[in-house]
Amino acid sequence: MLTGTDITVSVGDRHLLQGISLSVAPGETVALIGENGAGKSTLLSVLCGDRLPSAGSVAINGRPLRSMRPGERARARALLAQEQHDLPGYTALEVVLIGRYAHIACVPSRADRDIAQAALANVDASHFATRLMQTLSGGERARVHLARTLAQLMGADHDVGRYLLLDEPTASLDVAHQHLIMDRVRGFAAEHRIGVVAVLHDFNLAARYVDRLLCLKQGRALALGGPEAVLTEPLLSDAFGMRCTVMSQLPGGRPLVVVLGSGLETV
Amino acid sequence: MEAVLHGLPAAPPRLPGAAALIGLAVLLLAVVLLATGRGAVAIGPAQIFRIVVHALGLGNRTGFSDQQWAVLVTIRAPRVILAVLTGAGLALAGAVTQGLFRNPLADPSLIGVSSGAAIAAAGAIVVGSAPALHLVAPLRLAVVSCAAFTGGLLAVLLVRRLASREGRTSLPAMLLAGIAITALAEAGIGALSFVSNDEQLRNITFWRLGSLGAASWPLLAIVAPVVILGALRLLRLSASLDAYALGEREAAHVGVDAQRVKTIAIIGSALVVGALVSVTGIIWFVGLLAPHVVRLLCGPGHRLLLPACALLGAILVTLADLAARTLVAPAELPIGMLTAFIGAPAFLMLLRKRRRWSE
Repeated sequence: MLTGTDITVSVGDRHLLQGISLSVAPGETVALIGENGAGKSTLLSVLCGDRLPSAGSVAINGRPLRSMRPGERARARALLAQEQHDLPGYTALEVVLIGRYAHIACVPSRADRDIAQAALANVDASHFATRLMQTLSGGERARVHLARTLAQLMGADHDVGRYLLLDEPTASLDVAHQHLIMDRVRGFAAEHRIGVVAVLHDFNLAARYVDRLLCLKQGRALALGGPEAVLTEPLLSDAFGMRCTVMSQLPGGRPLVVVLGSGLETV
Repeated sequence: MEAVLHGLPAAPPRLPGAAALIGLAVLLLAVVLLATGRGAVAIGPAQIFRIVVHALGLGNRTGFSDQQWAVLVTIRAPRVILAVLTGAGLALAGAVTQGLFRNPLADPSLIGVSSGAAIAAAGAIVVGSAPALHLVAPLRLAVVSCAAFTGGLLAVLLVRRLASREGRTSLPAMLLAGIAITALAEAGIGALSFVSNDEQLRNITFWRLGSLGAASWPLLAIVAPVVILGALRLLRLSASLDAYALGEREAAHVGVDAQRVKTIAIIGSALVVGALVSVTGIIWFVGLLAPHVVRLLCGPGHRLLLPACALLGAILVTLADLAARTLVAPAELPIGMLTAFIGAPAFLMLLRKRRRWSE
């Protein structure tokens, strides 16, 4: 389990997060939703160990995150940040191999290369494995970095819980690839018994592919539960201040959110 | 296939790693033989071989003159070895610093090594030649070298300290602190130049232009272990530096112990560059040029970049020193001036060529 207990993050007298608790099981996919500045990325940075909470704690498989060495952390969790630096001169495959850092003693082995190729195939990126990063489009680069985080967690013992933290993994992708990537991530999570926490802005993408959603507003948890429980008209209008309607009687049983307006428009 | 359709190469042609390293090693050997053979007393490659064999206690003392033996063993060999160490060390430290700072313009001099060494050397030149001290010339040189090494190291430690908070060093803050300390050191050198007499001023100027003229076996016995051990440790950073290409935070995410890598890279580079600069003075551009050439030929991966840089740096400095001592013989040109004269235009050409790939 990846367990965050009573996490509070304060900067000065501003609370970025207040008493957030979240447990993610191996194989489960959880979406974080909320308006800009609600604390989604802050929560991810606490869960991955970048930021120490002012109060509360994070544990991976029962061990406090603080007590784990960098290599142990890297084998237990991977993070895809919202933005990536340029990597001029590196090929896509080389970037994915960097994700294997915590597993490689000296030189990448045949197995590491196979894992990197498999990770690229997982995000539909095999055909540009040998291209240079600066020649790829933004969405292609995003898929390469996603493959890097997948490769970081692959090839380990399936009995040990591992966790994938994704900050807006679909932000720069075309619609078809948004669905492809979410489908692959969910399949990857199930196949490798990996727990996923993903910041998502598209309710319908979340509704279709995740098991649970955590909705944040101003650093507090508004709701935590399945798509039907969280994606409701009153809750969304509270969290985002917008007008919307939720259609629930659809094939597949997942709710569909139709946004009617921001709630701030000048009439 | 997509690449073909768009008319883009999959990647620019890169030299295979083994071929690049073997090619550079062979080239270095040829350059070393050339540099050892050329000078006021010419020594052929076969004679060099015989002398080396004899010096190792094998083979007879035949096929070369006593003069050739003396010149090679006491003058050329230590000088060429120092050139190889200097080039390899400066280029390697340059590549490591650039990787750590994720900045192709970074150089150990940016974090204070060179300026710290320069101000300490200038101070030692001014104070050490004070008549009251009665220091003999070789001792004066030793004092200048020790001061330069200490000064370079202290400057880096100071810069690192200024850029650290709660045990964490901020790399952007290090760059800024390095620039400030460099400016301060320059001001200090200016003040020392102002109070120095003509001979001291000339010494300060020439020290800053660089020379391998001080090379000798006793000197190598002190410098070589520091440079070699430091370089070997830096070479082992290659995987961490590849991870640093993702960004410092992301490197930590994939499992790099960021603070440890920073400490090793910064202190290691400072030791290597400090030890070299303290005996050679400042040699420009090698730490910038070699990594750029290698990246163009072999790509940015540090597993190949670091050893290839060391080899190419050694080649460049050995050639530069050969030119420095033969072009205007019997006088000697300052090598630091030569490396900048040749290095800067070469660097500019590379920049233009590089743009073709990124467009």
